[in-house]
Amino acid sequence: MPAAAPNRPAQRRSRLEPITAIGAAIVLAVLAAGIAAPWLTPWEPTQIDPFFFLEGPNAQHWFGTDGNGMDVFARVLYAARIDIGIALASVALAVVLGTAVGLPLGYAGGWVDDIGMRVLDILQAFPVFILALAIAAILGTSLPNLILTIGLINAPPYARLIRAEVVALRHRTFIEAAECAGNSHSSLMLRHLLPNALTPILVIAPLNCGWAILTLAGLSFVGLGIPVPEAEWGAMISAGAADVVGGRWWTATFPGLALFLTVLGFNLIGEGLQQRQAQR
Amino acid sequence: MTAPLLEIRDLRVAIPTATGVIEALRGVSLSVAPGEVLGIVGESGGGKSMIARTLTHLLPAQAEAQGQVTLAGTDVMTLRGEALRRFRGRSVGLCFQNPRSALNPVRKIGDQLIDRLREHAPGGDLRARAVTALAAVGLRSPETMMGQFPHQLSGGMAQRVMIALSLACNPRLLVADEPTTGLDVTLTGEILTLIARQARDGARGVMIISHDIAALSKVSDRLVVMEKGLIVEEGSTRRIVTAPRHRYTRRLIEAVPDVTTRRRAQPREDGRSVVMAIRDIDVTYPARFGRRPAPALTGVSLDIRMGDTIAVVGESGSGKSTLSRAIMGLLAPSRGEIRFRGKTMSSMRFSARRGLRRYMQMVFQDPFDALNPRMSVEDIVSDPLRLVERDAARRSAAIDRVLVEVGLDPTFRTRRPHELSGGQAQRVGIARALSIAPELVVLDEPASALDVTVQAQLLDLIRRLTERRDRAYLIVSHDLATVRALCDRVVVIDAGRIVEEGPTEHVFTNPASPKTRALLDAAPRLYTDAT
Repeated sequence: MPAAAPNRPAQRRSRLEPITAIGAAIVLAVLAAGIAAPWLTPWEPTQIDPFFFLEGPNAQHWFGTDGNGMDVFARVLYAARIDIGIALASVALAVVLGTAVGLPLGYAGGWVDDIGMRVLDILQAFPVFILALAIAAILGTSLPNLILTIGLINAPPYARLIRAEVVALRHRTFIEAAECAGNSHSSLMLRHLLPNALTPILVIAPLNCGWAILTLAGLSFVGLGIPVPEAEWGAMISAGAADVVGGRWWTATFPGLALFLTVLGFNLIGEGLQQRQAQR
Repeated sequence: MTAPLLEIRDLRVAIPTATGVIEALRGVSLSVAPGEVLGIVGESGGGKSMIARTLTHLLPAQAEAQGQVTLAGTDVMTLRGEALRRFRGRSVGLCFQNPRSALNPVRKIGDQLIDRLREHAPGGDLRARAVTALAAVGLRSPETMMGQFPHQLSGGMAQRVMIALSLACNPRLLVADEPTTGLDVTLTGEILTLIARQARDGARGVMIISHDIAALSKVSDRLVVMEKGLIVEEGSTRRIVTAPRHRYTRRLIEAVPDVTTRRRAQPREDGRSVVMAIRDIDVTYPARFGRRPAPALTGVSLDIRMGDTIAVVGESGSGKSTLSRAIMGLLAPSRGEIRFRGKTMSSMRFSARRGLRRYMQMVFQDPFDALNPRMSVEDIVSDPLRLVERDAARRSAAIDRVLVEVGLDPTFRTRRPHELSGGQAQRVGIARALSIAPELVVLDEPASALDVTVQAQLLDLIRRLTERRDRAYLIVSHDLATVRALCDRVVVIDAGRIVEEGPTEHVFTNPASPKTRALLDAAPRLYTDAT
């Protein structure tokens, strides 16, 4: 018997790290601003003000207008819906896909595992962004396709992570005990292994949301993202990049700041969860 | 009486935590004379280890220690920096609980010894001195061992290396903190004797900390009994063992399994149905790269009848756990067959074997590792039940019934494993096994990871269960003493083969195999004449 600490760690959970709380506050604030956009600005994201093209920030258009005469403030707000929505959906998809692949691989072991892992190796040998470009180019650029693309390229790391956890858990006594209890393969995997293997995933997922937004912005920047005139930060930065040269800084800077803030928020959440896990 | 070598006066250790201050030691005073072996006994959480940790300044960072500790004239509590480092190296030798994790895994044994010598006792041929140190602790081929890594050693060998390391610089005091945890009974005796022998030169003092009063009674001159951070009784080993005064000491002594206690219930006569028939099985673990496959079991045959309680006894590494895993179908024999309820289980596929699971259940050695940390007691206990009882109300009633049966209150249902004590966790493990009324229950060292008094309660529960004779039990153990009162038949296993088998009383009174006799000699018992 180890010289067990006489106290039992009772109240270890419940309290969030301050860093997690700050991150969550940022992300929620941005998302809330996106949802509340109709009340925050009179302008529609694709509404054209015929009198103002590429006008700097003023009382009417707080963040100015872009080359199409659309209100940048309204577009930055409305884009939060799409960007955060795609980030969450694609990461959720990546987690589900990764789990669906990694869990049975780790559970089966042997040659099944070997072959599966080599396939993952091959997939991961491609640079992520090039792969995303290829998939987006093949599938075409619609909202569901973008979610699918970003979900697909993010799935292999999750598959690896889940598999590694499952391999480590597979020969723990409580899994043998569950096998002795008469559980089926699926029940061993879903009821006993998965809940125990999920912790590291939950730590990585928020970080991954940040990367997903960046990938989306990157795809939009090269023209394979959300098609104009739909408001999306990456596409706005891309379109505004040319204006910056002419001194019209507002069209790219404001969506850039929004993007920066959101990714920072997600990273802080992930960082906090990671610290918390490291303490265990 | 000579002046004490180590003197501890009114030592208090408090550890502040999030939930409040834990008073690990609440005013402990004791002394060790040169040439004396002092045993400190008590259960986990009693504060024993804190004494060893205070001596070497290894208390948790936030702990606050007060009191006076003097070792051979040195005031230990005020040591800092370089003086502390030298003191740790030269004056105290400390053997840790788990030797394999206390040795540096990436450095050779020889290098670790030479490091220590060079740092704290330089001079002469360091290598030759290291070899001598290894030979002095009874290691047979010290030259070879110099080039080996810790993972290549068995538990007993690793503890000997640890002792050699502690003694290398000839410290005045040798402290061993639970040095035999995880070792089987034969090795426990050998290691403790080796440690105690270090006081024989008359100059060195030895302090052994253990939860095992039987093992300590054999080797120590004086005993200190600790409970909840206080010394409750102190005296010569002989006096404490023969005439304990404190209630807690008496409890510890009563909990020692007695090798002479016989089974009260008489086995039923023959003619009962055979639940499981094991026919001449071999189990071979697959070879690692570049090694030959190692046979773990060879030619094992065994009949288990309804109502039987059979003990499988052997040293660690003898193959007894492999046998229980083969019985449970967790690994397949490479030869021979296992028939269960008339079906050849050993050749079944996973899904077919699942159908037989409800008739056989297992209780595991480490109660915490055997419970899913994310499930409540209720879910754990009903895990096997879920597959056969679809009706939620009936299932719920069955959970309550089986919890009461193993001595737990039904309010335990909502708890999670980390909220249980070791004894409670093992009861949950037993409740899970009994929940679907199996015909065969395999218990793999069910009490060996628990404190002695808890162990006694648990063995009592198992004894009561087995006396009902409504199912067959197979109990795996390294300790013959614990099984005599529990079992009808004993199977002694050594190096993967059955070396002796027969009715319990027959095996205990007329052991035929030398292995059985060795195990009987090693069985823990209280020694009233300390040496």
